[in-house]
This record gives sequence, C-alpha cells and structure tokens, in this order.
Amino acid sequence: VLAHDAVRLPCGLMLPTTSAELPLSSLAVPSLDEPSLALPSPDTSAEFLVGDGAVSWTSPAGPVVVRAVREWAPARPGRGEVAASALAAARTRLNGAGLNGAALAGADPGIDSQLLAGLAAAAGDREASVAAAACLLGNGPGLTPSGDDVLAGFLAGAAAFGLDASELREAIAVLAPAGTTALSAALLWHAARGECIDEVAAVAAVLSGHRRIGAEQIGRAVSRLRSVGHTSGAALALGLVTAAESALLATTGRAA
Amino acid sequence: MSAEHVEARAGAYADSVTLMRVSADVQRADGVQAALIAMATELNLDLLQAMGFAAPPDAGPNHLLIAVRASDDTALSNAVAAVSTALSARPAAGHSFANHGAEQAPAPRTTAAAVRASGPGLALISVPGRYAFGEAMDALDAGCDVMIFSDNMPVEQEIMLKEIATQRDLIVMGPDCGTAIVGGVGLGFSHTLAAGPVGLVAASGTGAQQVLCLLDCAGAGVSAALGVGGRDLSAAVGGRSARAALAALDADPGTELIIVVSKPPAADVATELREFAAGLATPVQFALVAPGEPDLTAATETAVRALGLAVPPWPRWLPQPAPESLADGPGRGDRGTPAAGALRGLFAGGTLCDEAMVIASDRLGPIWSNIPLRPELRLSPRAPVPAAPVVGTPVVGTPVVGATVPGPTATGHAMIDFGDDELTAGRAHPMIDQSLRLERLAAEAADPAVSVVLLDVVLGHGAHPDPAAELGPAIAAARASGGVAVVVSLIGATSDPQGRDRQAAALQAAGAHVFASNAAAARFACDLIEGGNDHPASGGSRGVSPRGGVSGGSRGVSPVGDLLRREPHIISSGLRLLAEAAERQAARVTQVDWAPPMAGVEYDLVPVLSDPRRNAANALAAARMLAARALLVDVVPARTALDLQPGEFLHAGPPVSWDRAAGPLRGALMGAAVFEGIADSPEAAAEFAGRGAFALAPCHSRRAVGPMAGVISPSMWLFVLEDPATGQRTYCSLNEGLGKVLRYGAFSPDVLDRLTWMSRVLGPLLAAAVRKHGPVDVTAILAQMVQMGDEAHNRNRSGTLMLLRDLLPSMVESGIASGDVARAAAFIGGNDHFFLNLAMPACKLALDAARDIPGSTMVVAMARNGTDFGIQVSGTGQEWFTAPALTPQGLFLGGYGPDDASPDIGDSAITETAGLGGFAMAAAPAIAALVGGTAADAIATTRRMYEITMAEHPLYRVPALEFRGTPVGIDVTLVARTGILPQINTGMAGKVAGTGQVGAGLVTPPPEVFPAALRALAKAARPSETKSEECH
Repeated sequence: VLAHDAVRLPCGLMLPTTSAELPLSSLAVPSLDEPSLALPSPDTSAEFLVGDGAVSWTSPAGPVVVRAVREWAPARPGRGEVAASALAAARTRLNGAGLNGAALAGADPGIDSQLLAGLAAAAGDREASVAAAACLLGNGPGLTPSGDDVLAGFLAGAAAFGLDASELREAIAVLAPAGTTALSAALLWHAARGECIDEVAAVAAVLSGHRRIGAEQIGRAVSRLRSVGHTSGAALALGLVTAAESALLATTGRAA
Repeated sequence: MSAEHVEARAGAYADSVTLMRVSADVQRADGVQAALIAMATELNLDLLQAMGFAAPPDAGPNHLLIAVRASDDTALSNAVAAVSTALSARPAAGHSFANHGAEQAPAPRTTAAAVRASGPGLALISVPGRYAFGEAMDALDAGCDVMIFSDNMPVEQEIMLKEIATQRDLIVMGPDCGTAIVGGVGLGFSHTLAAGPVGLVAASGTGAQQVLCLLDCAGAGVSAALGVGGRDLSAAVGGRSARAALAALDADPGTELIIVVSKPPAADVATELREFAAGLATPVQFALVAPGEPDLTAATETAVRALGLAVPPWPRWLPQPAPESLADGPGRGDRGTPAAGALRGLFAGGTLCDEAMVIASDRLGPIWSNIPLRPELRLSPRAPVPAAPVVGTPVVGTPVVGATVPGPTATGHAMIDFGDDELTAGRAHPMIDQSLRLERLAAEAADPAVSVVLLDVVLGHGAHPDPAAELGPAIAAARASGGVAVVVSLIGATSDPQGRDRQAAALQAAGAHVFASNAAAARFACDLIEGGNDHPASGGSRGVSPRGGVSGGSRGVSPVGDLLRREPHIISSGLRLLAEAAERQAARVTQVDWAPPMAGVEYDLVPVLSDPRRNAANALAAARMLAARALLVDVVPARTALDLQPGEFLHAGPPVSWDRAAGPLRGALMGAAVFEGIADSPEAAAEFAGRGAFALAPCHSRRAVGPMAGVISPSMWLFVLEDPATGQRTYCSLNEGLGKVLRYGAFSPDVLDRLTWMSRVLGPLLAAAVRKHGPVDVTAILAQMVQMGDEAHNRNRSGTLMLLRDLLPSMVESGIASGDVARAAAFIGGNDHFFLNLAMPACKLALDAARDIPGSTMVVAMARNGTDFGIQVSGTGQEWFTAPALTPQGLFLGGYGPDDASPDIGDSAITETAGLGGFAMAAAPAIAALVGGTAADAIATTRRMYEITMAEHPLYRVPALEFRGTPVGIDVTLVARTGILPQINTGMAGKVAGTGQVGAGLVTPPPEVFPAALRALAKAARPSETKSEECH
C-alpha cells in the first residue's frame, strides 16, 4: 500500500493521499524485524487479508480496508538505443559516488564485480542466465535483496535497449518463487514484463538519448534513482547500467 | 394560502449542477410548492418571473437567488433553512482525509492558489466558458497541463492558450473537452477502464466514449485518452493540441496503438496531422465520423484486430419476446412489421448524432438537424420538422436544391443534438439533465408521422446516475401512446457506476431495442423504416499494426510534460460533480472554491493574462520589492529634503482639490497653514485655501508618504530613508502621537504647540542622533516587529521601542540639553505609533522599486485622501485609479460613533501594499481585538490575502503561520478574479475638520478601482505572440 507521493512500486496499491495527509505509519502494525517498514510484514501475527479487490488489516487505530477501484499502469522504459556518451556520464556519476560492484559489496557482501560481469554475459545465453539468476536471486538482506534489485534493473534495461533477456526472464520465473521474498518475486515478475519504478524509467530514458540531455540532467536522474530505498536504488542503477553496457557492446561488436 | 420567500444573496456562489440538485431536493420537501435556487442570470430571472415570483431589485449574475413558495410559514422556513445548509457545505482544502497536523487551511480560490497549496497536477476546468481563461492561464503558468470541460470559450482564447501551452511543452485539452482518461482516471464524461495498449486522441467526446466502451467490451485496455476539444482540428486552431497529444502518446512506452477520433477535420489540418502521425514511431489509426469513412464501430474493430484480439459480437438487448436470438440480425418493429414513417433521433452526444446521420442519410435520404451534415438541412431544434426536400433524390455529398420550408406536415427525418450549445445554455448537459429530451420523446411519439425514435444513452462518470429510471417509463409511455419503435444506443463500460447491464435491462424491459454500438442502432432504426434486412456491416479495415519490438524511430516534437507518467492529481475548478467522480476513482483531487470574478472583468482579463511580458514583469517587480532595504539615514526639514516652498502642501492619497477635500484633510491644511505662519487663524487659512492660494500635491508625487491627512508643510521635519543598493530615497513626517493631532484634522493651539516643539527640538535632536549613530536599519526592525506582535500599521509598539533603544544613546550624547532629550525620549516611548512613520516610507521604498515595469499587474500604492481611494499599478505608471473611499468599520473612542467617522484617509495603506498591516494581521492578535475581531479572524485575514498576492515576504515571517512569510505583491488580476479585497487596518478621523481621531477599524478599497486598473492594463497589454494562421 503506497501513499500518493511514494515510490511507485509496480505491484503497489496506491492511495490518493500523500504521506503528509495520511501517514501510513500511523496505520502500521509494529514489526520487530523491520521497524522502518510501514506495513505489517508476514511474520507478524497480525491478521492481514488480501483478496476480493481489497487489502485489510487491523491497525492500532482500528480496522483498515484499502479497496482497489482502478488499475494504474506502471512505468515502462522507452525503447531506444544506448547513447555511448550518456552511458559514460551515468557510469562516471556512479563511480564518482564510489558506486560500483565493489562499493555495493560494502553494504551487501553478496554482490561483487564478478557477479555483475556474469550478469552482463547473460544476454541470450542460457547457462550464463541461469548462473546469474541463481547467484543474484535473494542475495542480500531485506524485503528486496540487492541481488534482486540488480536483476530487476537489468531486466528493465534489457527491455529498454533491446537486449535479449528471454533466457534470464525464464530462469528468474523458475527460481524466484522459492528463491526470494514474495514482494521481491512480485517485483521481478513486473520487471520481466518491462515494468519498473518511475526512477528507473527516467534513467533508461536519459541513457537512450531520446532527447538530447546534458550531463547535469543525467546526473540528476541517476541521483534520484540512487535515493530510492536504502540500497535498492543503487542496485537498480547498477543492473540498469550493466544492461546498457551489454547492449552497447553488442551494437559496437556488430559494427566492428 | 401559501407563503413566499425571495432573496438575492450577495457573495454566494455555487455551480449550476449543485444548485439544480439543491432546487430538486427543496422542491421535494414537505409543503413546498415551487422553488428556484439559481444564480441570478438573466435567464434565471426570467424563469423566476415565469414561476410567479417577483424578481428582487438589483439582483445580478453574482447574486444567488433563493425563491421558495410553500403551503405555510413553517414549511417555508424549513425549506429556506435546508437551502442554506445544503449550500454551506464548502469544499475544504486538500483531501477529506487530510485532517492531520496543522489547522485546516481555507480552500483555494484560484487554480494558482491550489497549485501553490497542493502541488502541480492536471487542471480540470469546468467554470462557465467566459471565465475559464484565467484558470487555464494559472495552470499553464504553474507548468500544469489543462483540461477545459467548459464550452463557450471564444476561439481566439483557445488559440492563445494552445499556443502558450505549445511553447511550454504542455497540453490544453479542450475547451469543450468532455472526455479524458489519464492514469486510468476517467475525467469529465468518462469511464474507468483497464490499463492497456491503446491511446486515444479525441476531438469528439461521445465519439471517444463509443470507441472506449467498445474497446472495453473487446477486452482491449487503454493507456490514455486525451481529448482535444471539438474545435482543435478546425482550420483556425490547426490541430495544436492533437499534435501535442499524439506526441505525448507516442512517447509513452505503454501506448502501442493510437486512435484519433474526430468529426472530419479541416482538409489542410487533416493532411498536416496525417503527415505528423506518419512520422511517429507508434501507428496511428484515424476514426473519422464522415460520409465515406468507416463508422466508429468499424474503426474500433480494425483496432481490435490490429492488437491481435478477436472482435466480439457487440452486445444488444432486444425487447422480450425477442424475435431473434441475441447475436443474430436485427428484429422487426414493435408490431412485428417494419414501419414506414419518419425517423427521429434525439441525441445527447453530438458525434453519436453525426454518426447516426451519416448512416441514416445514406439509407433514408436527407436528415434535418440542428447540427446538419449540410448547412441547407439546418433545423431549429424547437421548430417542427419539415417534409423531406422535394427536388430530386438527395445523394450524400451533393448539394440539395430547393429544400422545403418547414411546414405543418412534419414528415421528414430529423435528428436533434440536445448537447448543442443552443440547447445547453443555462442548463446542464443532456447526459445529466434529460428533461428536454423526455419532453421531446413524448412529442415525437404523439406525432403520427413518426415511426421510429432513436436515442443514445451515455453512461459513465459525470453522467446521470440512473438514466434508465427516467427514460424507461418515458419510452414505455411513448410506445403506448403512439406505437413508435424506440431504438437506443447504450454507450457504457462494464464497470460504469450506473451498471451497464442493469441499464440495458431496464431499457429493454420498457420495450426499447438496445445496442452497444451506435452504428448498429442507427442501422437497425433504418431497417425498421425501410423494412429492409441489412445486417450491420463492419467497415473496411486498414492495415494498422501495433507497435512492437524495438523502434528507434524519430519521435516528432518533444512530448508533453509528465501528464502520462505521473499518478494523476486533479485540480478541479467548477462543477463539484466532476471532482467527486475523480475522487471516487481514487484520484488525488484538489477542489478550487471558484466563484465568478468581479462583474465585467472577464474581457479585460484575457489580454492582461496573456500579455507575454506579464510573468517576467511580475517576477521582476516582486524581486525588486523584496530586495529593497530601508535605512534611516537622516532627519531634515521638508523645505530642504523636498524643496517645498511656502504655500506648498503635500497631502495623503490621490490628487484632490480643496473644494473636494474631506474634513480631516481641510483641518490639517488649516492647522499647517497657521503653523507655517501664512495664516493667522484656521478660519483665515480656510479662506485662503478656498481662493486657491495653496498648492496641493499628493505626498506620493514627491516620493513621500503621510499617515491620515498626511499633510507635509515646509517647516516639518522628515525622516529620510535610503536603499543602500540603489540610493533611492523616500520621506515621511514625524509622528505626533494619538488623539487630537494634525494628521487627524485637529488644529487646536495644543496641536500647533506640539508641532512647533517637534520642529524646534525633536527634529534637530533626531537628526543629531541619526548622524551620530549612523544609519538605522528599518527593514531589520520591521522583520523583528512581525515576530513581536506588531503588524506595523495599527500596532508599532515593539518597533517604536527598538528604534528608541538604537537612538537613545546617541540622543544623550548629542550635546543637546538633557531636559530636551528626556522629553523627546518620553514622547517617543509614550507614542506607540512613532515607528509607523518609519514603516511607511520603508514600505514605499520597496514598492517604488517595483514601479514602472511594463506588463506588471502589481499594485505599487494604495492611498486615500478622505474623499477618494486610489491605487497605482506598476504597469501603468503614475496613473491613479480612484473611487469614493469607504468608511471603516470598527471601534470608537469615547462617545464617538459611526456617524462621526470620515471616509477612509491616509497613505498608511502603503503598509498593506507591502505585506504588512492587515496583510500581517496574523502576526498581531492584539490588534485584532482592537479592531473588533478574534485571533482566529486575524489568521484567517492573512490567509485570505495569499489568494490575491504574488509572493511571500522572506523577511516578514509570522509565528502563528509556522513562520510563513506574509502575503505581498497585490495582483490586480487576482483581486478582479476572486473579488477578495485587500484588508486594511486603519485609524478613523472625525469627519468634521478639527475633531481629531474618533476610532480605529477595518476597511477595504472600493472594489471599482481594480476593474479600472485592469482596463488600463488591458489597453497597455502587448498581444500574445500567437502565430497567425491564414485559414479564413
């Protein structure tokens, strides 16, 4: 359940109110594991019903029912070819922030440059895809482990830049239900359909150079994505940039 | 016996749909015989008289008429009370959940204020068309896309808005845009549909609804539907919004196929639009309602196939017992036989009417209409239908010669669009109010020449909550009385609030033949008349395939803002019904509490608001005003500072001659003349003045200001304030204290003695102190005062003490006799208003910096002379816009009362003009009590002023408003649009010369000065930079 001003997770049920108008935390059930989480996590004993077009639970303030009244379409990255200069600017931005495979490993010990290199090789390759999915899925702490975010970023990038990720999608579809949290699996399902949060679509758009965009704007888009979640935004950015680099390599490889 | 209540309530406004609901509710109340609750437009006043009520005198379009006739007094008073209750339900700011934290702010009065309060969004405008321009400009100025639901907006305004939107990468949907879907939210007359790959560009509302509902039926989802307004594809408007909408949909990765739904565009526009569409990466299919084009159903079928979906059998519901099964061909007429006779179409949707006419004229020959396919078939919607044209057999596409004159033998085919402007003036759209159609249905049924009546019923958000409940009985009655067959096209989606299938069942039970496809309904009606057996044909399909795979194709113009990427936030001005419909779809909605502008300003608003210089000019004016700093640099006599000569007097307010001067001003001039020694007595001074011996000029004309009468004569000492950045200076006299003083028009010997002491002792002492101390930062003191309970007009206590704190050491060290210093210190410290005469020139310094910026609508002076109230505006130079000053309301000293007070006087309203005084009322709750209000009134007053100002003062921050800056920079256009007048705190002078102060209170400018200023701004406006298109 998302406030109107929240990051629009594709699987979210969005409210017309902003977090200032109706703080979701006021309706949350306290959870030991995730004190910062706005909603009850599955391991609390709170009764928590999803179905019949509604989500309902009992908050300290009383029963809460959120009823779905319409569908909203999650963001999808526009399709285009990677602009090498834009990609370089984005990569510089990530490196400049000390953000690369090694740095992320500081926060999430499971993710390193080698894993990212493996992912980069996954396009159109069944074995590499299964290996990358197996290594990254569920890798990291929290409800959306960083490994999953990297995969989701990569899938969004693949959809945006025309990279063949069918093998990877298939591997994730098989492995995700048992390999990671339910929330993360749902987000990967959306990612496989080319659906992502707005912040990912915005970076994909600047990378494909649909519009002539300066380095400053690229920087802004990357920063906005990085500020999503604790490490999620950074991991999504890494996955997306990895896909962009693979796509660019494939194009220049063909040209050569 | 019956009792009547007729009232024209000023300052009350509610939209027409709300008023109709209230009227209907009251009419149903016990004992009520007749009721009319409506705005007092000419139309409604006529209606009132027709209902047997006497029209109240002076009622105008800004008055709310409440007229009730009831069986007795009790029923009457109950009904009137119920009206008041129903109308007092005002919208609150933000969402209904939004009750957390801070106190509820009042609902915004303009779209600009709404954006400021709750962030950008899509402005949904449904105020009456002639007022829509201002709201639309607000939205474009704030970087928001616009949907104008209103009709009757002049085409020049539409072109201007669309041109400006194009320059700013925004889209204007409409005017007369009835339908849109954005982010899954159906706006206007619309539907909630599943998300999917089809994007619509709609120059036709009901046409788009038909396509959307058929897509829904076929299981094809919709990414967005962008209405552009019925005139967008005309030669004059040139498809500006259609191009923006196409570009936006093309840039939307969720859109794989675009359908353009329109009546036939102008030829050049069509060519240009097709070229534009061809350059897009997303395939575009045109669905045009015109002879020779596939009908909307056929066009939808083509789209459905292109998406790889199967075309379903379009639903139909035939009366029981149905001669054929559901998906088979059409049935027979009601009596089991085809009925030759006339076909009458009674439509709510213009495009549905068009489509039916295209189909029927192909089969049955010419169709008369109020929106005819060819001009010669034009029929007044209220005239009887003439026989068919007699010369030749008309063929579609060829002119008909010799169309017959309407006659009593009404045998021709006709279709009426009840949604046409001619039939909607003063009433709601027929999709909401079916009464005209119901009347006409009964009349047609009674006409023996008529055999088939064709109706459309449009469901969805915004439409009548249960049309079949009204139409069903009417259809049954029509069939019973005349034996006509009734054919209905039912435009609805499965999730519509009315329940499409329930509506269909009710209409079917009434004996109607019901079709989900308007084209199928029209063909069926023709079948009945011809006795033919044609099956509804599908139109030819064109090879269109949805976008798939990677397409790095060129994407034309840059796409419209974030309309399709953001979760929608709807900023609605006008019909509450539309905002409620969006709220029911869980859209974030901010409702503007809109009311009509001041009478007659709407035409002057357009050139002023569209003046391309305005935004930059106002930004510059505000920046200069807010950047100004005021230092007290010197104290000198007026003869030195202003080169004022004996016999010259400055006074407050706009120019005025002695013979028109008010009592307090005359009294002050008489006293000043004696003080200067040019008259022996006040009486002698009055005689000189009457002979024209004195030269009078406004203080403002000499960069000075004066409180109350504001009289400055050569011997009076003046504060000199300077802006260190610009070197600009302003001047003001020294404050004499309260009670019997010259500025309140008193001239008794003690008044003159005090003036003499002030020029002999106080002035030189202050001059010495300032020179010794160095400049005193008046702006800094003002900023502190606002946080210490002063508003710097009627309360200056902390400012006065801070000034004394700063200057006292230098006064003591000045070398002037300690007795004089002591008396001066006691005089200053004992006069709470001493600082007013520093606050005023500091405000003038800031406002003078904002003067003379062409195109700026900011008020730079408000001043009164006791006779006239005048304002000056940045964009109109030195011109004063004046009207007779009002008399303040408030508290009186001693035995004085309202009859003793002079009309409003003084330059001190310069404080309000600069964001202090009444505008900072929330900072000074103590003054609210003095002027008869509560602390809550004080806060509400300041909040109200944000509606008419363009900035918030970065230095004057109000603790009670969480340190929000005071509202500053009065915008003439906002005052004219909202009717909210600047609130001024003021002292009151006795109206008889020589009296002095009689009280203090609240006052506003006379409203007329703002329309007058607006007129001058309109004359000086530069035309909007619209590319003229030679298409006439």
